[in-house]
Amino acid sequence: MSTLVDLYTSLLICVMGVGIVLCIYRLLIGPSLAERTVAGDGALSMIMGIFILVSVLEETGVYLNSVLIIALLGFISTLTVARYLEFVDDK
Amino acid sequence: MIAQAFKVFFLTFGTFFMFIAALGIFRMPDVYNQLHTSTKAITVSLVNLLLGAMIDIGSISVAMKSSLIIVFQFLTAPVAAHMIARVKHPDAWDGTIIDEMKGEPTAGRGSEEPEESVAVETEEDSENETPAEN
Repeated sequence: MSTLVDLYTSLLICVMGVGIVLCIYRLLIGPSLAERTVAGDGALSMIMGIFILVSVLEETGVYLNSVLIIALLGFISTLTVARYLEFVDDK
Repeated sequence: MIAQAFKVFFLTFGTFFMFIAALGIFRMPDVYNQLHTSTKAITVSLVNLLLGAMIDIGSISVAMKSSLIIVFQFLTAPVAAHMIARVKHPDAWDGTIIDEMKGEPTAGRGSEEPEESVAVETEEDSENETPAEN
């Protein structure tokens, strides 16, 4: 039973990896810088999700510290790019 | 057994919404549509994933850290999305019915236009005054 649930959690990690691939595709082809910023924020959130799933898989709470730091850095980077976009013509 | 079932349910729900957010970022044509899809879906997905982690591990430190991450996500995700949407407003669609920021200059690009119009008006006034003197 436990191994089956662990296998299912690994499958969920794979689904999250597919989501990261989709976000990175939008990050590469996005026409404007704002779309790239949104895609990068989404990819960072999916990395947070992978960390939470790994934390569930290994039964420790150590990875949640990394999740908190990633959330903080993603918020600050999005805010910085938004402040930069106010003074440049984004097209 | 019931805890396992709840954990599987929450993790599946969270991963499903995270994948929906990735599909929205990948597929939607506009920044506004991407923000609309990704922000709310990522918030509800992280809440569900952290609830699953809380149920599975069940220690007090994990519960406190998860609560901190949930509160932080609820505070910061709308702020970041609002900043991006406010910056992209001058490039938005022109046919919208209610535009509450119409004519209200955004910092940076939008605030340059009234100064130019004022400068043009003063030039026209000076041109009109010179023939009157002659």
